[in-house]
Amino acid sequence: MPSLPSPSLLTLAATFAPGVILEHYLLLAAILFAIGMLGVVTRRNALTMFMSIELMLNAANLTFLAFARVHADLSGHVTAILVMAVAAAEAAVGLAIVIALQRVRGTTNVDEVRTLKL
Amino acid sequence: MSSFLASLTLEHWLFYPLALLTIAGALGVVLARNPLYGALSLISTFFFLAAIFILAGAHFVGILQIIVYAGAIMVLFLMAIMLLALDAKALGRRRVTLFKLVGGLFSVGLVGLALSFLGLRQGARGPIMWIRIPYQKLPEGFGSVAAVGDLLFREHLLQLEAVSLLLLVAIVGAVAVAKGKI
Repeated sequence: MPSLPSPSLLTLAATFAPGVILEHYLLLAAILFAIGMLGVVTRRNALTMFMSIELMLNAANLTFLAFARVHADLSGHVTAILVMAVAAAEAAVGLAIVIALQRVRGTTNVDEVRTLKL
Repeated sequence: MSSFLASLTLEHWLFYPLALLTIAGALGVVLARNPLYGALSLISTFFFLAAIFILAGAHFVGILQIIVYAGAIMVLFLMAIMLLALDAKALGRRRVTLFKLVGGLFSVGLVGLALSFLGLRQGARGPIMWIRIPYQKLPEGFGSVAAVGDLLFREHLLQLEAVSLLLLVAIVGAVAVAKGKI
């Protein structure tokens, strides 16, 4: 396992990056994405899986914003806003499906839902 | 050591505690047995993440994060969770399967991979792609509503309209799916 940068390295980094270095933003995004993936893979409750997907979308947003800051380019912000709108649409349809599932099948466990038709 | 402390900016002092809180909230989402607690944990995660967005200079996106995510989307989630009224029996008990174990290891491995990229910085093999990107100086009003809105409506108008169409379809679709008789 590689060690974290030593203090001297951080001061070196501060000379060309005012504030937190880009890698730490990316590392936080990677950790958030991994936690979201952990939720999708290990949880079988449809609602928790949806929330984990929201986490992963946010991790992607963080990456866009971090790069937008490094390059001083606002396109990343625009992309993040579009991702947010897509996430809202996804949540609305996804939750409607979960509610329909609960009504028709009486379960929100995705393992128990194997067929599209009743 | 003192020169190291002196080199720390306010962004450093705020970023790392906020990052830890964000990770803790995200873990709460995944580990909470009841989705209701998970949703509340996710709301706190979104607030901390919004603070980190603002630290990164994305003021408008940070505020949108609070309004859209912590406000609209999470209210939708909470409404759905309360509508379903899951009890302990419906939630079932915790099961560990081979599939879950492999998936969990894979996710942890992803963090390990990210950490190894971080370590490459010190390596003698030369920098990987993004490492030597110097920070550009941020122009006045970077990340403000005016600047982002200008770009959004001038250069990304088509994408904006496509997303608005998507939202319309999602609204109609959500009603059509959730409305009992189809």
